[in-house]
Amino acid sequence: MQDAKFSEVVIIMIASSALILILGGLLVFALFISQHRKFRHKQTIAEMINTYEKEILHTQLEIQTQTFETISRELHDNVGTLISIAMVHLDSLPGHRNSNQQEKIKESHKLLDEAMESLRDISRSLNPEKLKGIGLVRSIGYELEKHRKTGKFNIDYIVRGDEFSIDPQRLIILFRIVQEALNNIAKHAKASSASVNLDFSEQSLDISIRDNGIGFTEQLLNSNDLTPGSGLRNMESRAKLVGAKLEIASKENQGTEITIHYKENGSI
Amino acid sequence: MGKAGINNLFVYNTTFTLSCLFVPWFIIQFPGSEKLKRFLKWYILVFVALVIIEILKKNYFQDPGTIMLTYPIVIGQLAIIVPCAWYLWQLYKSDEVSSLRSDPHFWLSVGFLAYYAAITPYLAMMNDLNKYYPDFTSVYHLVVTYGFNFVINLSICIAFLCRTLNSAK
Repeated sequence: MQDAKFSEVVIIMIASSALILILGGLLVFALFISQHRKFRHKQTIAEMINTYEKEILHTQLEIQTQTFETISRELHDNVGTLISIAMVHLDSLPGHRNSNQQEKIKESHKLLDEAMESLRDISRSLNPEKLKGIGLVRSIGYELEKHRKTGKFNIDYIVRGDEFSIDPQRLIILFRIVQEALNNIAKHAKASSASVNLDFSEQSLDISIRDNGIGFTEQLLNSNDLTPGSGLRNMESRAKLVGAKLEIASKENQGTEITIHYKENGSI
Repeated sequence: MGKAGINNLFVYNTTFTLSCLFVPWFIIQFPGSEKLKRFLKWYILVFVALVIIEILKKNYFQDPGTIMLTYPIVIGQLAIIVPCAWYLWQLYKSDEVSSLRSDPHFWLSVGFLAYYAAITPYLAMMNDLNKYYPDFTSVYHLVVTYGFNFVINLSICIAFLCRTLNSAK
C-alpha cells in the first residue's frame, strides 16, 4: 500500500515537472522556428523593396534619358537651325553699310556664334547617344569645359590609367552622377576651385570630385531636408543602380569630396 | 542533508524565500508588459505576507530544520515561471526579428523556467516526501536540484556573456 502510494507520488511529481519542462521546451522551440521564419520573411520583403526601388529608379532614368534626348534633338534641330538662318540673314543684308552698322553686325554675329556654341554644349551633355559615342572621359571633359566658361571656379581634370569600355547605360548613369556633383558645386558650394579625378584600373574606376567650398554638416547630409540633400540622395541611388559605392566627405567651410568606386561587373 | 532525509530545511527556506523575492524583482527589469510588472510589484508584498502567515501557522521556529514553507515558496516560484513563460510568449508574438542567441533576457527566462519548472512540484511535496520517503528525497534532491542548478547557472553565464558582447559592439 505504502509502495503504491510512493510510486503514485513520484509519478505525479516527475510528470508535473516534465510537463512544465516540455511546455517550456516547446515554447522555446516554437520561438526559434518563428524567429527564423520572421527573419526570412523580412529578408524577402527587403529584397522586394530593393527590386521595386531599382525598377522605379530605372524607369525614372529611362524617362529622363528619353526627355533629354528629345530636348537635345529639339535644340539642335529647331533652335540651332534658327540661329543658323539668323546668321545667314545677317551675312546677306543688302545695301551699303557704314562702319557703325558693320560693327553691330559683327557683334551680332559673334553673339550668335556664342549662342550656337552654348547650344552645342547643352545638346551634347543632354544627348545620351552622343555621350555613348564619345565615352566617359571626353563627356566629363566637355561638361567641365561648360563649367569653366561660366568662370565661377577653376577646375582641374586628371585622368589616370586607360579608359575601358563601359556599358552605355552605366556610362550615362555615371556621367549623370558627375554632372549632378558639378551642378551642386556651381549652385551651392561657393567654391573657388574644384578638381575631378578619374582613376582607371583593371575593370574598376574611381571618380573623385573635390571642391574647396562651404561644405556641409553631417547633420544636413543625414537629414530629410530635401532641398540641398536631394541631389546627394539622387547620386546615391544612381550609384546603387550601377553597383557603385558612393562616399561623401564634407566639413563645414572645408569643402566636399565625393568619391565613386565603380566596378565593371556591378549589377544594373 | 543525511540518510534520514533533509534536516537543514531552514537553509532552503531562507534561500528559496530570498530567491522568490529577488528573481521576480529582477524580472521586473525585463522589457515587456507594464501590467505584469505592476502585478509582480504587488506580488512581492503579498509574498512577504504569505511567508509570515505560513511561519506563524506552522509554528516554524519550533523545528526549522524539517519544515518547508511549501505554500509561499510554490506561489513564489509560480510567480517566476509565469512571467518567464510570458516573456517568451511575447517574443513569439512579436513582429520584430531579434537574435535570440544574443538576447540576455531570453537566456535568463529559459534558465529560470527550466530550473523552477523542475523543482517546484518537488518542493510542493517536500514536507510529505521528507517525512515518509526520506531516502528517496535525499537522492531526488541531489539529482534534480543540482542538475538544474547547472542549467540555471549556465543560462545566467550565457546571459551575462551576451550582455558583455552586446555592450562591446
